[in-house]
Amino acid sequence: MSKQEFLDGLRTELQKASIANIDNMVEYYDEMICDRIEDGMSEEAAVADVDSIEEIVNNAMLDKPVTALVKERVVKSREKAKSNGTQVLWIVLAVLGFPVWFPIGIALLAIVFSLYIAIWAVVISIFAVLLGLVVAGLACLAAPFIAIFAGGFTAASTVASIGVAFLLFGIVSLLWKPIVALAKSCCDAVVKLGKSIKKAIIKK
Amino acid sequence: MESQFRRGILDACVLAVLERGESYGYQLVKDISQFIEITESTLYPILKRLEASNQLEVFTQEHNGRLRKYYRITAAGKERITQLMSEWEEIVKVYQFIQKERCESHE
Repeated sequence: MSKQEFLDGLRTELQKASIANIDNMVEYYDEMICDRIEDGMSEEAAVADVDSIEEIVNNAMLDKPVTALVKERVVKSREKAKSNGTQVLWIVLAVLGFPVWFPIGIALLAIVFSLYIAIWAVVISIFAVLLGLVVAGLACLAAPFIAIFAGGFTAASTVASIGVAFLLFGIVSLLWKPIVALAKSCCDAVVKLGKSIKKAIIKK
Repeated sequence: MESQFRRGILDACVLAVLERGESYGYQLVKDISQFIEITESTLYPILKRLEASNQLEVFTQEHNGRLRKYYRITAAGKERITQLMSEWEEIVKVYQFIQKERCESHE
């Protein structure tokens, strides 16, 4: 296969799969083939040496948003049903099965959504606790100065207040690293959840 | 190899090669594939992801009468590689622990 034939075929398949930034991708593979030819390979050998069009499209699909993948699946299923002549059967089944599939679908969506919200809630709440500790520490530092103006200033309360402030700052600095690590793991968990949903859709 | 783990390793490999100096796609594949399996279609999303997160920057230069894209590591990329290396030290410790436990259970 010549370079031009490969790039044209790649462009067509990427368009079929509704991949974004097709020009960029085609340019990238054009450059890869040219570099191989410059390295001493023949044009045909260079084309054969890069990944197959199918592999390239598959890897690009994994980078697409879930909503776009679901939309494509729906369109494909509709086209398949049309060509099979089973479209009417599917409509009848969809209407009759509505009381079953609709609640199940909603429940599945609710589970995924609640997992997503729960992960972010954990991240936000732990940072809120840290912020609370910092604010409390600052308040403890400011308390002796307020006591001077408002009356009721004593050496013992000042020492106690400053001590508590340093204790709180100490707790924050001790907790900072593990909490940032935990927040990162939560972010990774969200990304992993999205990727597994994507993979499940692509496999089907 | 678990995909998330592999992705982290490949990110580190790309950044490590770029830390040595700017490079282009084919050269990156050649350099990295000596140590771990990587193809153009695996490299492309990695480059895009690293570019989107400002860990590398792209510029175009003329080469033998055609344009070629070059990649250069940024300060954020250098920071990421330091972070990945510190995480790697933990992985090595876990590996040594697993190996030790296995040796003891076989004895």
